[in-house]
Amino acid sequence: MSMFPAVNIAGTGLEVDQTWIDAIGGNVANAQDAVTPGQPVYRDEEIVAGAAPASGSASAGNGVEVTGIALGSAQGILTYDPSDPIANKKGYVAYPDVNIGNEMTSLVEAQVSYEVNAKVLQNSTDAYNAILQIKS
Amino acid sequence: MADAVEAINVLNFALDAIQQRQQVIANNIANENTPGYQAQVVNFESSLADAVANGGTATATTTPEGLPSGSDGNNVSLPAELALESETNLENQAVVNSLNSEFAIFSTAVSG
Repeated sequence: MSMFPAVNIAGTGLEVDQTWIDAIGGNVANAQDAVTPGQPVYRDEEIVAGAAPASGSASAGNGVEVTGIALGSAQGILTYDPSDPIANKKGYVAYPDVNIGNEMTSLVEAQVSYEVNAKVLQNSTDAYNAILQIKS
Repeated sequence: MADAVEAINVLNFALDAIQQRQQVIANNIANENTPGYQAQVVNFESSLADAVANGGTATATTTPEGLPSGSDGNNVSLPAELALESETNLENQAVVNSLNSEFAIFSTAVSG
């Protein structure tokens, strides 16, 4: 572990939050990417986080890390829209399995989490700076 | 002189324990959205008080906080962690100030 572990731990939180926000951005941007059913459709990406395991007996933990990405339905959601030029013979188009309501809720959570981790980063830097002021 | 050394030792231990607590708090906050994560707490005050009063060695222990978990098995309370972080930062500053005072006394004693 580093010399200033709390700073690193907050950094891992920021990194996971950034990945999370990026994934939400991708999901929202691709939410309306309709395709003809049977064609590859954009799959919703959900970041899966896990605690980074502690290393060494005295370590308090190593923060958080992305452990995987859970993908949404490969078929997408079939919507009846025969006027769409890409509709199949039965009149269906496939939309990505992205729920905008869920994405917006996640975005708020991710933003708050990012802010808080940034605050911890600042506070722990201040605390280490205080320790660096010790002199005899 | 021995008192000053004793005080420096106690403050040194407290500074270590406070740093450990800061790490644990940072880790709890970083894992605020991690499914199944259980918040940890660092306890050292009672052990240190006991060691100062009765002799012996103080220890800082990290244990699960044990609060009820939410639906995803996570029990990190963000407001509680943030409050504890502020408090811990102030304690850190207080210990640093005390250490500096002790060192000043020590220097005066040495140099006369």
